[in-house]
Amino acid sequence: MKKVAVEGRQRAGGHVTFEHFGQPAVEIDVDFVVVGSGAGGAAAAVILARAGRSVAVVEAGPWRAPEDYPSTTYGAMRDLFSDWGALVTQSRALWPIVQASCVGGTTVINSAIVVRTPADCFDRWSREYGIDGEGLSRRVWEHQDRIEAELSVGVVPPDARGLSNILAMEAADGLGWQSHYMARSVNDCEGVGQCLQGCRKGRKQSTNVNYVPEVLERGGFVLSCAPVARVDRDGTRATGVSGHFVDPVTRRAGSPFTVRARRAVIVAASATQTPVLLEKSGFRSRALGTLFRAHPGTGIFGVYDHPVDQNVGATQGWASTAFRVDPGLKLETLAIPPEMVAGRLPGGGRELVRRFREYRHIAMWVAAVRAESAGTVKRGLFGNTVVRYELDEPDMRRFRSGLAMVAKMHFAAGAKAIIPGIYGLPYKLGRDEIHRVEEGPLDPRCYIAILSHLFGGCPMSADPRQGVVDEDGKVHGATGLYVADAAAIPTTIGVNPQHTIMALASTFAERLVS
Amino acid sequence: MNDLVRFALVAYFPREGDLPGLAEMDVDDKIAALRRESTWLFWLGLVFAAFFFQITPILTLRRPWLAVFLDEDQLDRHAHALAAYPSYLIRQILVLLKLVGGIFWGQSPEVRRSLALSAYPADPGTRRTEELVLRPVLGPRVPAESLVLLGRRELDRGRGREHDRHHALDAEAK
Repeated sequence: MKKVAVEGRQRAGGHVTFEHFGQPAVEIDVDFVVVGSGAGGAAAAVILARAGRSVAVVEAGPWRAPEDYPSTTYGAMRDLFSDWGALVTQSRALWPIVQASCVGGTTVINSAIVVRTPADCFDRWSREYGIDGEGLSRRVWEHQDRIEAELSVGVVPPDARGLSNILAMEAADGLGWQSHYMARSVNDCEGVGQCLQGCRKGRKQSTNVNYVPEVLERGGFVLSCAPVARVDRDGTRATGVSGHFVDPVTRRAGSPFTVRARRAVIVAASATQTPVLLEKSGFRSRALGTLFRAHPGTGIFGVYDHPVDQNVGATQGWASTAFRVDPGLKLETLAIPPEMVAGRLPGGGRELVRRFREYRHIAMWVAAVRAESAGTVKRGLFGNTVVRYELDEPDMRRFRSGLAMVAKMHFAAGAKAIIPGIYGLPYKLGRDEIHRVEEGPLDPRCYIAILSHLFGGCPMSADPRQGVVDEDGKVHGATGLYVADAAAIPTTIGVNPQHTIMALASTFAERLVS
Repeated sequence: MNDLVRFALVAYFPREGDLPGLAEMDVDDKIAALRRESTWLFWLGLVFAAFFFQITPILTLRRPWLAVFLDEDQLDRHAHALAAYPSYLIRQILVLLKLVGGIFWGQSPEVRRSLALSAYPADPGTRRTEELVLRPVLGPRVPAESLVLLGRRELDRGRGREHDRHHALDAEAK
């Protein structure tokens, strides 16, 4: 095993984190340094480690194992979310961008939904971005086969589904819509409904419980509480990364760290962080920060006569991808905990509390739009991330039609009313009022939505004027610098992106060691 | 500052019938913890929202004085009207208050009990600092009884464990 130097000592890998403010500086030499430990970073790092290369994974957030996960939403915002979930789009509508900051990244707080990259995505990347789509698709799908086997991918077990997911399936069947129970990388889900706070049962296969520990087992380094300030470079060559450890409680900076990379630096810090890190590090490209896209999602509550207890059972267990191409939607269930519903229901004071009393009888189903609108990710005045993104009118029409479809599903499942949560509409609508959702406003400010599937910012293209990286993830015009996360994906894909991100990062890493 | 925030949060989640209000749930400790643990930007946003709530009865009730001088019924109407105010910016300012108040109130043992849910265990707030972090060992799988009953119904309907796996994995499967 290759030994590397940390503070004069010889170490063969291990986890290095913030300990105290007086801890010595850390310097590490490895073949590859990977920035970020989420879907992309961990998938790339484990491929490199399996090939016998020395690897260091550098993660901004702390390492929390399942026994460290919070139970409450407050705890999740404090311990897992990036900046308490405060990142929002800065456009007419301020829509939150949901991302985690911890070892495992957003894989810790998502629902681990697994869908293979659709073939039409590769066709489009070939057509519009000059990528060898056929070759890339073959490699991506091979890795997806492997990842599915390694991460225990399976359909939600019948005794973990819960009533909300079952009702959605029955509604779709009743409407004649193709749908399915989700495939997820969850090892024998128990249906505790805690995906969003991290699975304390340890069943969800977020990367902090598999690929990142494997990197350690194979002699690699993992630095946690270590936000990378910049990619170090020598001219156009990336030579490593550096920054300061951060106390996860006070967020004060501690001792410095430097990780030098003999072969390459792989940035996988997310679609909102990777472009900003490259910008801060002085890498220039006219495409940097462009083609930022997303699947904005919003939901409608159905109100049922009987208790649904949406938070008992898999957080997300049912979906339909039948409308992915036309009109460009994905329908899903999404159970949200009582404390989030309390804040999301319209109104305030006693009326809000009265409305909340129906919690056990409501189910949240959502529509995510495969939006074509593109925005930007840039560095703000204080070095922060600024995301400018807004749906154009065709996307808003899709968005609205998705909500109307969800409303129809609720009534098909036997709901007595829906709570649309759309500004300007009544608190509740009946079965004969779905048209009010279909004809609802096209102003994004009238909707409560979130951005959870993010793409672009360092888009992949054969043309350096159009893209930041090539089809191997290599940054155009730079040496030894790669992007291996959602930032490289130049379009939306219409399905949950984790599987695509992991497989794409794996293909990039595989090229690096082949 | 804490009292300013407390006033607004409590106004959004008052007692209603048998459901206790946020004022009865150690809200001062919760606010102190939030102030200590959140980012300065988050806390600043919350203070600003609470201040805004205080000075805006003029917008909702046409009363030119601070919210602290409203009676209970007026305060309740002010909270409700401000959350549904026609201006998007004003509604957004209030989002943070409702989010934090909703979290404090909705995750309390009292509210969870009313929903037939057990109280949340304490958040450990711990992290890994050891040099070698091992993969977790899974305990026995024990789904809730209500889920097991629903699961049996699913099996009876032929919707077993691998039901429609190809559609789940492949969005283009026909």
